[in-house]
Amino acid sequence: MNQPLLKIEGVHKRFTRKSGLVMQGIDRLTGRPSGSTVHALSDISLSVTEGEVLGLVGESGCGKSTLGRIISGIYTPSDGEVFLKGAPVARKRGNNVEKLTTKVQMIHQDPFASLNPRMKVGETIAEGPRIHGIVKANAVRARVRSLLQQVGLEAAYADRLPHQFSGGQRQRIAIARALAMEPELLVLDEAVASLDVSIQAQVLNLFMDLRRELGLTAIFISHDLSVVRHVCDRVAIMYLGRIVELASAEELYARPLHPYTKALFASIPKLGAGRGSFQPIEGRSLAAQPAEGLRLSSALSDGRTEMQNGAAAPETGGSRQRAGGMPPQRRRHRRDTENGGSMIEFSNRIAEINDILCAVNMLQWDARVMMPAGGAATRGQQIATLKAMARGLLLDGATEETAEAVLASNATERNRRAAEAVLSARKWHMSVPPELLKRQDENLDHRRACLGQGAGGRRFQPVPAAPFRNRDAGAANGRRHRL
Amino acid sequence: MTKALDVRGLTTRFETRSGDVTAVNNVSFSVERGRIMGLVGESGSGKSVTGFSILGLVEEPGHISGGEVLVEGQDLRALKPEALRKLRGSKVAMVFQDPMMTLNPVLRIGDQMAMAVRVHENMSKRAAWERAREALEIVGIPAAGERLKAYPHQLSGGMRQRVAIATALLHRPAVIIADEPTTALDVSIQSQILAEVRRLADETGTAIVWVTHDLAVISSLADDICVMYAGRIVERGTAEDVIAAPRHPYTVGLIGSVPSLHEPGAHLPQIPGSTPQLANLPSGCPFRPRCPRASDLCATEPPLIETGSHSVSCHRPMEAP
Repeated sequence: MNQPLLKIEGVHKRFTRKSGLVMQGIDRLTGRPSGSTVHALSDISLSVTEGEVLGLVGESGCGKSTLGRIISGIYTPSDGEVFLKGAPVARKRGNNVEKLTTKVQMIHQDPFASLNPRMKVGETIAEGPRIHGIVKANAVRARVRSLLQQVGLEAAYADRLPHQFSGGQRQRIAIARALAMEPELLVLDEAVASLDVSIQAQVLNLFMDLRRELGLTAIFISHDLSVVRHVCDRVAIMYLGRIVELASAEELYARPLHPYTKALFASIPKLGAGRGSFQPIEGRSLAAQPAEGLRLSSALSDGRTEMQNGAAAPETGGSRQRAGGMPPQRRRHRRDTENGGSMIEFSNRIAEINDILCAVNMLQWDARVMMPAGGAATRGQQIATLKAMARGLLLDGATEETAEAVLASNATERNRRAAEAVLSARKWHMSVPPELLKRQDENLDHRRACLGQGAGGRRFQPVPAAPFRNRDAGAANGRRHRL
Repeated sequence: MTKALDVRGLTTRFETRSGDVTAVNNVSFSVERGRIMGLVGESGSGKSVTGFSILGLVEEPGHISGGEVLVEGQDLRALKPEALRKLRGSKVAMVFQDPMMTLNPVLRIGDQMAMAVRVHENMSKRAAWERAREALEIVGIPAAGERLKAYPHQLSGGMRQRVAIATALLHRPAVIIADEPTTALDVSIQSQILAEVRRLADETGTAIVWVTHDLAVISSLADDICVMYAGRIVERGTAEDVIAAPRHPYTVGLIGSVPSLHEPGAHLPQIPGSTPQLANLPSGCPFRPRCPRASDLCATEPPLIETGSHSVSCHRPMEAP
């Protein structure tokens, strides 16, 4: 088990939409780049060992399904490589592609859409193995019968059509079809999301039984954290096309580190937790809970340090990898010797501002503490703060009041400086060149679109007012989830 | 406390080729002002049809064949269609699962909300827009004045659902029926909307019937819970009672199926079989074929056993704690 079954290295996925004919002409005349690009995945690296079930969790539009499709060879990555048993899954169509992609089988969310309504289920299950010569022609029927029994259906059902089955039974058929190919890796894309609770339990039990029997390796994509916890060994939390936290299920649920993971956990209604147990993410502004806001920000910078250490010496970090909103090579850490904490320092290249904004979006109230303690801010920091202010993400009247309140009280040195940073950021707002803001807007819109539309986004979302509201844009693409 | 909504013996039938199907079978419950009633069930349990039947929105081949629906003491079933239409939207409002279905894509939000106001009340367009703006603010939409000028496609799913809820609130209705309003939304958006809804019920005194299949959502939102199976309410009680001490074997199975209550990787206790076809239900208790506690007795109609506010329709319920 030294070699991981699946290895993904630095995968990016960009979707580009061509401009219309007229706009193409105009773009050519004006020399602007034509079309618009959506970054669905940024710098994804992970590996899955044999017999392991990895959960991919995130909300609509975070890129989890896109990643699933890249793994199963439906999409090719724009950058980076995917290795299956050490062999690269070729980016271009080549000899080994088809062989490899039969080794990864996918199970889709909606069993009403994924089965051909005009094929008998026996034919559906037999089609793959027959075409790829996995079983001999005279053994096909027997194989179908045993597969049906394996997924808890009667062998005689092979001659029925999909419409004669309920949702749970259809999902069993979809599982049988995937198993028929004797895959090395299963990708389950929201496979239980559209099932009723009691049926979902049946299918989950089936999955776990099959896993024990066959030693399955699987990627389990879901938005349902309780289901993921139940079946997965390791869990990756995705946000905005990046993996923000990756840890063993046990550790992740016991001690989530990333603010987004924490926020996600807090917003899930839990059975038996009592009334009003959910905590809306957006409601936790600094104004409402000043102490907590500032505490979390220090947790963040500590967490970042951990990431940095973890990257340098993985064995000390145990199984946990953790990333901030930015690729590590783009940021430096500065030791804040006075307080023993660390602060993130950004260099001031424009390209990075996008990442800062991404972080601002993600971390909400924490961004204000990214202002440097004491000395002058770098240009990048200034702009990030200003942009956030301009959007009303950060420094509305209430937080300014809070900052003043913090200064008036006998807060800790660290919190005082954060408050000062909030107030001083206000003054910078006036001095940003408008063209810089405009360029930022364009970049940000790409990011938003990626967030809202996921794969193949066609429309850009209007810019909402508050950071976490942005993410409900995902529901706009019309996909249904049963939560 | 006054009952905002009192449903008594509501029955809805659909005439199909395979015979009469009773989608809602003698359903009774009541909701007091400012309380949230969760109507929980799986697909095909009749929970949505119950919601539609309350508003008299059942279309052919279905018809409401019996029962009373009292809203603040007024029987909606006794009203003529014209009078009923006047009450819909003003006294009783509904929020649907898909906000794209309820919003007109070619009208601005403000126009359609104002239209909803002016249908029921004689007021100027400007005043109606003002009312719409207030309603949007109640459901927590920032820059409400700006949003009124937006078209539905310019809003995200969560925003649209807020607009749908705001539209339901325009006339301060006594009762809102919400049919899976957060099912299509992300969890973080869902939690925002749940918080708003809870606040609305507490502050405005509106009674809410929240139809859902999601036990976790309902246990954190509702005051009372009705569990539906095959068109009947099999268990009814306060949220605490039903979740912590369920008495009907079906409720027990349903709660047991939720993975978060078990050790990771453990075998989930599952309810065998699948939800029955309404056209050929077994005699007596419809849950009988799937029930681990079933006996010969269960072939007869189950009695309604009530202990305080907690009632269960079963021959052999779990012991009361």
